[in-house]
Amino acid sequence: MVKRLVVTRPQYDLATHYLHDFSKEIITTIRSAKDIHATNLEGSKAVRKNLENTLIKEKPGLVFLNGHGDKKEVKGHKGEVILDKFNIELTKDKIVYALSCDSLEELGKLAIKKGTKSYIGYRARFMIVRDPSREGAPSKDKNALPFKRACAMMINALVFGNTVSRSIDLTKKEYLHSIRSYGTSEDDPFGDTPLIRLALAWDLEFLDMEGDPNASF
Amino acid sequence: MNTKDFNITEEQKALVLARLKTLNPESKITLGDHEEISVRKIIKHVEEGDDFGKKIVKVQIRMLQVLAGV
Repeated sequence: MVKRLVVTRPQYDLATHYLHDFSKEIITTIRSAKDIHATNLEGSKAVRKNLENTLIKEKPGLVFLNGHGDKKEVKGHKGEVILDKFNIELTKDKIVYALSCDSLEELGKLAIKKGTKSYIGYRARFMIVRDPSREGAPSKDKNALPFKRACAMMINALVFGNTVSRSIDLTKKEYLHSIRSYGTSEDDPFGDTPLIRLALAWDLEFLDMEGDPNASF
Repeated sequence: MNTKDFNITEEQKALVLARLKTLNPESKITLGDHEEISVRKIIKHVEEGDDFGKKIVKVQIRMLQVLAGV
């Protein structure tokens, strides 16, 4: 049986360019997996109508949202609100992973009340540290790499069947590993390590979930 | 993390401020919502003791504990 997920990947400003890059690898991985199908709502396709249609028609078990957000909503292309209290019931019986700011605080809690299995996200704003000289090429930005690895760990763990709880544990271990190991002269030519560690520790602290910790995709 | 759930000691705050003040004040962290915050502004939040500043202190202390293997 083919498992289905939907991924929203807006790419219209600096932050979403980075998140878009963070999720590139999992899309490639899934393309080679015969038993998993991903609907990739990328760029201008990451709009509310497309997300709703996909949730209704394809009934994906996992919903992976990348983009801006706040306590009440998650956004898609050019800041269009794609998930909020008016359509959150469409994620009923699904696992949601929102790589966006704050949304776990209110939307995540509401989602569980409306029947979502689990909602993974951040209880505060998501932080990264960029190398300003690499803005045009997030994939070459070494400062962003530990953040990318942690985000990739979460979605990989979920996609390949780990429980929500286990996926969060693995991701937190990845954050801890980066905090401990980052900062040799080779990977930190500009002395950004203390700030990178602070941002990693922040993301580690505020990554959390609502709902069933034993749910899996 | 609810900042009401923990108390920040003056020693913790001083330690975090001392560490932050060793950084380039113009270095920035990108927050998700189109915003960047400089080390200079982070220091101001910590000095003022607002909610964001308290969270920074808490997270920095946890980070130091991780590095120390506590």
